[in-house]
Amino acid sequence: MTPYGKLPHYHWWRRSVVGKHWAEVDPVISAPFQLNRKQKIATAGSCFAQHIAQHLRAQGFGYFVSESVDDIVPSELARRFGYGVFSARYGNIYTVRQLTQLFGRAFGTFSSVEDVWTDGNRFYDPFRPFIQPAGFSSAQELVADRESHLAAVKELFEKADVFVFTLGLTECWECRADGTVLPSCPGTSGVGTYDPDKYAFRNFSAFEVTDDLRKFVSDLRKINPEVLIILTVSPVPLIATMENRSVIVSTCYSKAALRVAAEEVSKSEKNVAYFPSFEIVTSNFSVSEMFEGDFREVRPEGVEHVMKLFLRHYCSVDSKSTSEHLRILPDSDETGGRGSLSATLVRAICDEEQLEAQIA
Amino acid sequence: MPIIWGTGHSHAWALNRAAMSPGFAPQGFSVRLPVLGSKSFPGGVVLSDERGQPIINPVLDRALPKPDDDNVPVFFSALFGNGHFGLCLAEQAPSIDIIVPPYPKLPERRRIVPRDLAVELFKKNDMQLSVLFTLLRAKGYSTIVQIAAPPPPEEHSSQFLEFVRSKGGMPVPPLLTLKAYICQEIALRELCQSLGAVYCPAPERALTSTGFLRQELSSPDGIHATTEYGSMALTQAISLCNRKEA
Repeated sequence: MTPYGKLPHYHWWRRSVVGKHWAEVDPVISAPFQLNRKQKIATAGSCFAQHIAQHLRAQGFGYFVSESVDDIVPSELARRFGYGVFSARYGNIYTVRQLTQLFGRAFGTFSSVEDVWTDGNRFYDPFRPFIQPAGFSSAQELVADRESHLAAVKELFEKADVFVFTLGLTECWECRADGTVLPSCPGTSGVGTYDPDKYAFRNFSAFEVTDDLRKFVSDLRKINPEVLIILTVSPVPLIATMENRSVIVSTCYSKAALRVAAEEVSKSEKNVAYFPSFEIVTSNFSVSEMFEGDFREVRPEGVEHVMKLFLRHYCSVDSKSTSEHLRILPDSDETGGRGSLSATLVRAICDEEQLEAQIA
Repeated sequence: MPIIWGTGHSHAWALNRAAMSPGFAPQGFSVRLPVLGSKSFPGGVVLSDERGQPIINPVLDRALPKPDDDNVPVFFSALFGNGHFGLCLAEQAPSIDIIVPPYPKLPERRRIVPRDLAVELFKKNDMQLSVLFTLLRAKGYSTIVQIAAPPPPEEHSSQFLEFVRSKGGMPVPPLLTLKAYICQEIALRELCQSLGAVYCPAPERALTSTGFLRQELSSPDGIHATTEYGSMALTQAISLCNRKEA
């Protein structure tokens, strides 16, 4: 007799996976805390994090938006300008270092040599270069908007009851002068100018990501001690790698490092949970069903399954199909039928795709 | 004789009064401005027929002169172009600002609405114009002139303040309305350019050095303009039209 003999079914591959349809497999055993409709829930991270925002909002949870635009602006137009995609208008935050620096900029503990990128009479914010089509109309506008944005980010961190962060990448570009991390390589889609003397490629180690994540949790808890944190790892593969190796190898490294960091921090920090969206989508039993033909974009059914499990375990919401609820989204009248609705919802705004757009 | 046929929302009143005044006699043109105000077009300026195809609102369509050899109508539109009041009449919560150099940022902490977003919003609001202008072209109106609404005055009139407060609102700083007006102007200019229409801005001599409407040309309600302004705007529109015809 070994200790394995008394273990519940979910410890066993054969009992919990074999012979089951992928949609029946549920790797979440329990949630360390529950979310309720009174809490302010904020989200940030890579493009996959946008789905969490959409589903929570559709389910009537208190999705916290600290940087919004007036209701008279149609939701589709607002979204094009980066409103409502995340809790504040920061665009995709791919690396944990980017998150810690955003926190530092909002609270005045980090400043950067990077200021404004210009292209003729258009002006771009290096920290969110694709936040609105064709950048800003003037440098003054960019500076004023950034000031207003950082005030909204500060408010978000101070007031959120729950912060959901999706870890996306380990690879990034940073400024040689002061280590500022950028969300995309300067020059992507013609925004910014790539200068090898100014910018360097960086691929964070699992230890560095873990340290950054610990620092972020510690900083956040100083100003908001009660905040609950949920970490997820994006299942979306890298669009390209700067390492001299296959993008497949880099994707595996990146996800492994992020997963280690999420594990380390969720195990050691109180009220930090890990939700296995990465495992749900990429495990052997489901991977062939989860991705579109490019093996990168997650199918609507996959997103829906991830969110169904998230809502079941963290929000005590059990529904056969979360898309039933998604019909109440403001954009739903602009889509035709369930198929296109799902397609719209999974078409998350991905800055990383700008990289591919320029070589297409 | 070419006929100028015009219509518009409430800011066309100034043009209408000017056109009807005895002293107003544009050379070589006759002016008709028979239908005014958005309420004259129930359902909007353009509607859809049974097949879902866009049509000019029948109220408007019936009043339009039919082009023929002796009668070359020019369409003057003072439709739309007043969205700046929709966005910036009373303070919102939280209050907003639009950054439009060289105008300064408003002093209080305000939520910034991106300038390009305001422009896009106005374009969306003015979208019926592009359908209308296309339908007018198909009817033989080769020249279409879009006349800008008057900009706001630098100081609110007492009637305006009373109106906003009676609705439980706080009036926005006039500078904010002006910034929204400039965004509206960019939207209309770009729309006209894309549709091959002539855009007629507010006459320069009607403006202060900072771009507001001169106080004496503003009507007591603080939103519309006087007959004198209408005369200036119409004269400029006719001159632009003549230049295009030449």
